[in-house]
Amino acid sequence: MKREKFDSFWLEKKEYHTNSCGLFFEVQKVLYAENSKYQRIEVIENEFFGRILFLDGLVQTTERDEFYYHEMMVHPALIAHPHPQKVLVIGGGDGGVVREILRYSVEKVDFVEIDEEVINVCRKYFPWLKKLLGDERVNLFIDDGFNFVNKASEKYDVVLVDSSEPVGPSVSLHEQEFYLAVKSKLTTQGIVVAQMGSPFFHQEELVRKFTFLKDIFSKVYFYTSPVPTYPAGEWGYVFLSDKIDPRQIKRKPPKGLKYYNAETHQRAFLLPQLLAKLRQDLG
Amino acid sequence: MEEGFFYVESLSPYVWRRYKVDKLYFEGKTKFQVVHCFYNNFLGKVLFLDHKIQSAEIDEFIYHEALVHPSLVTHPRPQKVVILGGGEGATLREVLRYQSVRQATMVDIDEELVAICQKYLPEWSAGAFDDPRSKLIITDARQFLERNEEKYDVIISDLTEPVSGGPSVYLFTKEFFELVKRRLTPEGVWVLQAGSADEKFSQFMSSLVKTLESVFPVVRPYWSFILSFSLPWGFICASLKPDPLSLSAEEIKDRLEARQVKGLRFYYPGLHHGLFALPRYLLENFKRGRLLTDDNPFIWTL
Repeated sequence: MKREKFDSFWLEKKEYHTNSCGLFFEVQKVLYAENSKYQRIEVIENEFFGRILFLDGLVQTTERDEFYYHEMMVHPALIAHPHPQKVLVIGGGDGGVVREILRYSVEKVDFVEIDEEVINVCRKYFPWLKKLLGDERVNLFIDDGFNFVNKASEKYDVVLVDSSEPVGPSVSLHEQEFYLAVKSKLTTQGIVVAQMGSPFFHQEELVRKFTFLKDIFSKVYFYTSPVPTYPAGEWGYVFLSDKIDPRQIKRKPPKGLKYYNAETHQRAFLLPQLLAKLRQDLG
Repeated sequence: MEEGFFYVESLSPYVWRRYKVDKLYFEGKTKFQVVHCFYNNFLGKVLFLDHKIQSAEIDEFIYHEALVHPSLVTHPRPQKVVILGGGEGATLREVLRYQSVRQATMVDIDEELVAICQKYLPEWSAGAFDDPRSKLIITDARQFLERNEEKYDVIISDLTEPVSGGPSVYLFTKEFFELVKRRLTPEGVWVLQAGSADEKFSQFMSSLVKTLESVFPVVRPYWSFILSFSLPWGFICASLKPDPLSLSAEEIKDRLEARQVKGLRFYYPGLHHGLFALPRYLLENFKRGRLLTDDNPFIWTL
C-alpha cells in the first residue's frame, strides 16, 4: 500500500451509496467546485481514474472507466435499429453518449442538457465534448428534457436518456409522463434506452419504473454492464421498443470500442437470476 | 453524512487529522513549497505549507501575539525590527502595534507565498504591508543577514520547520545563530518559533535550547497551546542582555502603554511570566537536546 508512507497527506472525496458505505477517492487536484443554478458541480483529478465529474456529490463520469457506461448506453440501441438517422440525447452533458453516437453515419443528434454550466465545465475538462460540439450533426439545446420532448415537432429513431439520479434537476425524467411524451416522438421502429440505476442498490426504483414502462412499450428489456465507479460496480439499463428485440441482433459493431462487441451485447441481456425473477414476477 | 472534500494531515505516523474543505481558495506549488489554503466552518481560513498547518483564522492571534510581544516588551527601546519568514504578514502586524518601532523589515524567501497570503488571507496582515514603517525584502534570511551589516534591536524568526529539502534547514544552526548575534544591537533580543512543545515531539525545541545556550547569555524558552495545531507550541527568547523574566507585571504594563500597544487579544502583563512556566517534561527533555550545526542540522523525519 502506497499510503504506508506516514508523511503522506491528501485531499479526499467520499461518495456515499447508503448511510454506511460508499466510495473514496484521493484528490490529486480540485479542478472545479461550484454550485450551478441546478446542482453542485465538481471535477477532480485522481491518480487512477483521471478526471472525475461529480454532480451533487455523485460520480457521473471518469476518464478511465467512462467507456463502459457510454458504450453500453449507445451501441445496443444503435446496432439494434436497422437505420438510425435521427437521435435524441437527453442529459449526459459530459458528451460521452453523443461521442459514441457519432461513430455511426446518423443524420443528426439533438442533444438536450438542462444545465449550461455542466456543458461549460465539461467542455473545458473533457476534451471529447469540445470536439463533438464542433460536429455539424450535433445540435445542442439548453433545456429541460421533458419540456424539449413535449415541444419537439419531429420524431426520432433512437432516444437515449442519460439522466442523473432521481434527485435534483432530473426528477421529471424518471416519471411515467415523460416516457409517454417520449413514446409519442418515436418513429415506428423507434428505440428508447435509459439508465436504470444499480440493480443492487436501486431495486425499488427499478420495480416502480418497470410497472409503468410495460404499459407504454410492448417490449421492455433490462440489461447490465460493469461501471467500476458506479454504486456496486454494475449498472442497469432498459431497452424499450415496440418492434425490436435486441437479443436477435447480429450486426458488426463499429471499430475502436473497448467494452462493447457482439458477445458483450448478448451477455448484457442475460439477466442475473435476481433480475430475471423480478422481470418475471412483474409480467 | 460527510460530503465534499476533506484535507488530511498527518500529525504523526499513527495520527491523521481530517479537515472539511468548505471552500478551496488555493492549491498549488510555489518555487519553494506546496501551498494549500481553504475555508473550514470551524477554523475559518487555514493555510498549509508543505502539508503542515501554519495558521488558522480562529487562533492565529494566539500564535502571533505569543511570538512577538514577550520580546518586544523585553527590549528596552525596540526601534528596528527584522522578521525572518512570516509570509502571512501577521507577525509584521503585531510588531507594528509598537509605536516605538520605526522600521520593521520582513524578509521572506517566497514572493509567491506572500502574494497568495495577501490575496486570500488579507486579515492576517491587516494592512501591515502598507504601513510606511514596513519593508518587504524577498530573499533567503541567511543571505540577508550575511550581506547586510545593519544591526537590529529585535530579530524574530517566524520560519517553517526544517524539513528535508525545505528552505529553513540552515536557519536553525549554531552558525546561523552566531550570525544573528552579530546583527543585534547591544541590548538586542532574538526570538524564534521553536516547533512542538509536546512531550513526544519536543526534540527540535530541546536542541534549539541547547544550541542557543552555546551562543547567547540569556535563553528563555516559553510556550502556549495552539488549538489549530492541537499541540503546545514552543518559542525561545534569547538575548545579549535583557531578560524577559526580570520584568515585573507593572513594568510590562508601563512599556505597553508607553509604546501605545493596542488591540491585543491574548497577551497582557499578567500572562507574561505564565508563558515562561514550563511543564516538567520539557525541562527533562531539554537535557537531551543536541547541538545543531551546519554539518549536522535538525531535520524532521516524522
